[in-house]
Amino acid sequence: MTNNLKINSLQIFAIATALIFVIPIILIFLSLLSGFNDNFDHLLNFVLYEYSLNSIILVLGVSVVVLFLGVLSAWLVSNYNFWGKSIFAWALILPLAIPPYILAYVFTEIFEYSGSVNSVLRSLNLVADDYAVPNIRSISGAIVVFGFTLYPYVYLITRVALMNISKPMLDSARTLGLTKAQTFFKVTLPLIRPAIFAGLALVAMETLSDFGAVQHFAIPTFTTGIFRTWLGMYDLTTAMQLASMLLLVVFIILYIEQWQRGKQRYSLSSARSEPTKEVKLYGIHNFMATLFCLLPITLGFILPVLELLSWSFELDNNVSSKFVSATFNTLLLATIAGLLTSVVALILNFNARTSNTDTSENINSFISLGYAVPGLILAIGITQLLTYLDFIFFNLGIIITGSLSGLLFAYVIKSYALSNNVIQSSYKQFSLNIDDAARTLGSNKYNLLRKIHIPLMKTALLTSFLLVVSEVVKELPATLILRPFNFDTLAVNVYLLASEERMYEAALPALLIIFIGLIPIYFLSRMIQVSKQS
Amino acid sequence: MSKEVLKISNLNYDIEKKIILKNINLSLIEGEFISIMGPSGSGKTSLLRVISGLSKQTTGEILIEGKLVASDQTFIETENRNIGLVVQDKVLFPHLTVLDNIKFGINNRDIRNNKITAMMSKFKIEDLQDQYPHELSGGEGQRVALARTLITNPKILLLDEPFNGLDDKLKSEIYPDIQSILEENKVTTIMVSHNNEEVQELSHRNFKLLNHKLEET
Repeated sequence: MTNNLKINSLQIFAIATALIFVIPIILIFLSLLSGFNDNFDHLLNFVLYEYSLNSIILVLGVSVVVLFLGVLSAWLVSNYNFWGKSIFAWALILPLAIPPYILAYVFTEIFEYSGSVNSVLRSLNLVADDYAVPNIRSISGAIVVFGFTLYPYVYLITRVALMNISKPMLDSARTLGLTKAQTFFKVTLPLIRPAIFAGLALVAMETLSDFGAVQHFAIPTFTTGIFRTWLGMYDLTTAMQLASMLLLVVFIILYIEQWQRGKQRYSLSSARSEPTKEVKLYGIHNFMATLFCLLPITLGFILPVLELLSWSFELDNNVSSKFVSATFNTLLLATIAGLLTSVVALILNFNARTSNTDTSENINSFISLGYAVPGLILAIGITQLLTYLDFIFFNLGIIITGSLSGLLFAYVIKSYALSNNVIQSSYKQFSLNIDDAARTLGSNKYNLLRKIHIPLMKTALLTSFLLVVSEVVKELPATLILRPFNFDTLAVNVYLLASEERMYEAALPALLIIFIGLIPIYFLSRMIQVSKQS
Repeated sequence: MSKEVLKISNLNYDIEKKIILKNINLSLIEGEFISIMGPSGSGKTSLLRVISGLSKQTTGEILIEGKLVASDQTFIETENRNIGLVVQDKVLFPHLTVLDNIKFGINNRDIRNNKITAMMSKFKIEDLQDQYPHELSGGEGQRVALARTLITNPKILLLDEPFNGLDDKLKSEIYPDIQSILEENKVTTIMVSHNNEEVQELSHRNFKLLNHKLEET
């Protein structure tokens, strides 16, 4: 009977985690019940239309760019053999390491009136005393920035979907009388369509969630509006009501994505049968394919990294005490968040595996949805929750609100899906019979986890930890709001320096963020490689 | 009088309202070896899982050596039932060597080192002790799995098509070894199998699981 209690305690932990995760979201939506004040009327009459329109234009514009870059590059790399193809296959993911706000800062410096591109063109008398490149601090500039940092989502998922289409499948379509073009439109496209849409949904959610880039470009969107309403008008209730609207849009996108996907799943480790044969390209076709794949890597990764490197060399003393403390704070937070998230994901997956009930699986999937909640909204919900807790336990003090707990809570919610995916896939790789064998050999659940599961999943646990670390290092809006007083991280450091136009000083922390952001790129490219070999 | 080791009374097992096992009654004495045959999906594996405690019966009782291990009110967990289970799939722990695999179960139960050596020798796997499961052939792996289970001195051994995939030569080598070890240790065994020859060679009694019911043949 004691062991039954152990099972129950695991399940109670799972349900409690789900409840704790959902409280900030519920608090956000509860704000809709508290009535709309004058500030909301003001927003509704004067700026809400602009917020909505800009957000829609951004999402649509970015979708077009990522569709073009992501799908075409995935198609080229999956079906053709051209110069540099094996490098492009993984290098096309590199821009994922650069958060949109860093690319926004770099592009502003490169392409604005006094930036390097315009200056060089003017010095060569190629343009008159005017912009050679259209003003980057505009909505079209933001579309370019988001497009070049977010297209890897579409590239990655489309590439995996294309890799899973086997040659015999396409051959059978041909033997059934379809031409090559018909095979593409009737077989290939329907097979990769859900994947493309899944990538697009991710991009749309990331675009809507962004704060740093749109703030830098001074584009009024929902996120900047929420920020301004809260910290400019000091009206948390109206900010939460705006956040509810944005969250509703995010959930609708999420729902449409899951609905259209149906039962299809995209896994980098999925086995495939005989791969499609690559067509070798020659001459101008070879050149064009290489150029096309080189473009997003150059603009989305090489150029900003080179620019940041050159800025970092401009200063004599780069390593300021602020940089050192921001690095320490970032690594401290990222390490704790990485450990916490991985442990929670391990326990919940262990519970799902050993209890073998739909409820446990559903709880896991539900908690994973936290990735879709914009950091800014999460920060508002968590602040509200912590304020209540402080009110209850510390009589209006700011003991919990002023601590790191809110920030860590936000990180765990945001990055749980990453940990969960890695640990869930790892669990699928070893049979349940192994668990049965351990149990019949006398292991209780604790020993099963300690002696069998953890040793077998060492790599997965490390991967999960590193993925969370890289996510936390990049995170800006939640960190900006939830950090304790005088507690800067690398992302906050970059944001504050960039907002004061101190770009040279921002270069080193930005480079460090990018460097840490390369960790998941390594794992993703390795997983693709393994999947391809299988 | 022989000691009754396993007694199953009025056992029913449903999964999501689908009947898997219906009114199963079975009594086995010490050292007895029985086989259960039946078509795929008839519930043979489910019966072994319920006996071992890996699945919980819907109604009914199971007694091991006279002790109630499963009823409406009682449920003793698998690790406390002293039951061994060997299945046809690869179940060796991939991160442990052959020796560590064999030692795994005896960390929890007091067994001397010379018994490990003797058991490995009986199954002709002493040369494999430092190898990892992926380095073993199918037959070697299955012998290690059997040795790993038998060394824990289970009162009841459950075999779920344990010799599937082994060639006839290997089977004819293994059968006598297994029979002698089981007899020596008076292990009560239930084997699920599709192979009639195997059943005839090893079993004292044979059963068939048809329409969710167990019948002696």
